[in-house]
Amino acid sequence: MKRIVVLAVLMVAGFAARADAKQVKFTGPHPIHSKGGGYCYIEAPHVHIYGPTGKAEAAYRDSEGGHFFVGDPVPHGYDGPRHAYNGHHPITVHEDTEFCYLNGPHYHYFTPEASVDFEVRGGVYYYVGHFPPAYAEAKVEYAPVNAYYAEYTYARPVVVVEPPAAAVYGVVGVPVVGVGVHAHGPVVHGGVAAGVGVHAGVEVSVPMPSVEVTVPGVIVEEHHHPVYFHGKHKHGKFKRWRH
Amino acid sequence: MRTRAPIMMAVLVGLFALACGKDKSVSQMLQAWKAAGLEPSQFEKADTKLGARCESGSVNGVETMLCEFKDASAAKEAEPKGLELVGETTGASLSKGRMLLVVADRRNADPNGKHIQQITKTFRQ
Repeated sequence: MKRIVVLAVLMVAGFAARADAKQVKFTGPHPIHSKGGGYCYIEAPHVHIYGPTGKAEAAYRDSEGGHFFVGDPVPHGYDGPRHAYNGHHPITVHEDTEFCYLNGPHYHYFTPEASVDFEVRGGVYYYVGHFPPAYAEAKVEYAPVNAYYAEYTYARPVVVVEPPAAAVYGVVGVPVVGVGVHAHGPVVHGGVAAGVGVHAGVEVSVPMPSVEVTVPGVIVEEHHHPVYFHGKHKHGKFKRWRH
Repeated sequence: MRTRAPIMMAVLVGLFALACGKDKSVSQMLQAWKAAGLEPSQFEKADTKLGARCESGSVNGVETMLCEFKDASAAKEAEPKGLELVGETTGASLSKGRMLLVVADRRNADPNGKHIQQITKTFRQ
């Protein structure tokens, strides 16, 4: 009994008021940006005494007064359910629409909202809608997320089924590549090796507006040799944004 | 027959409260955490300046406090004060109905937050 009383006193002392706390608020799970790294699984709003810095900031969006992680959780040691995506796409963050600028195949711990235009092929989500002006406006700020993930070597999802023709990726020269195959698009900058047999990050600055570009990709398993196909995406002609 | 009326009324009120999702008491929360596979300690009365009746203990080594306010808005308004109590460590301050939950991992007992995730998820259900 005496031990319980002592423990209770310690607990109360522990919750004594602490002023000037250096707290950083997060509003979902996220990588741990402190010594040791790892992944924090707390979904509810919570605080840490560290925050995202440098390149990692591009993997977060401000939501409900805190940081909401929208990057790929896998290279940070995340061991929960994961969902494969290919290319850029909208994300619903606490009822707001944000955009993921991760090039090529990558994972998220969440699935898309049913009301957003996605198609699933071979277990991979493709965005098949139209990007609104807000996507292009925020790209300068958030596209550097690819430089952040270039620092990690991990197994990204491998795309082995032909993407839907209507897929939009947000980049030219889409990095949809199977084992041991390189895509050769009109590369201007980028080119990031990202894990076993997958090469991602081939990106081109797209002149705006109304520039038509082709989107090459590669089918790997359905044929016994790589076969290029062409899709079309017209930039600068966005339809009304739906979500 | 007439003497049973107050009992029937009490039963109806109880059923109505259950149907409306009545806030869990501290003891009910402890049971819920146990059912979720967590290991809460015994909770004791905590003396805080939150203006509510509070009890604190630990859940899987994470300092945990539950406070019961007079109404939901008072509990919501107390969330920032709860974060002040967390201080410079990993923690959370969340309200649900009249209850406020404050957790603080001062001993780094939960480095990846999986226990805090379970504690908060169970509290919010």
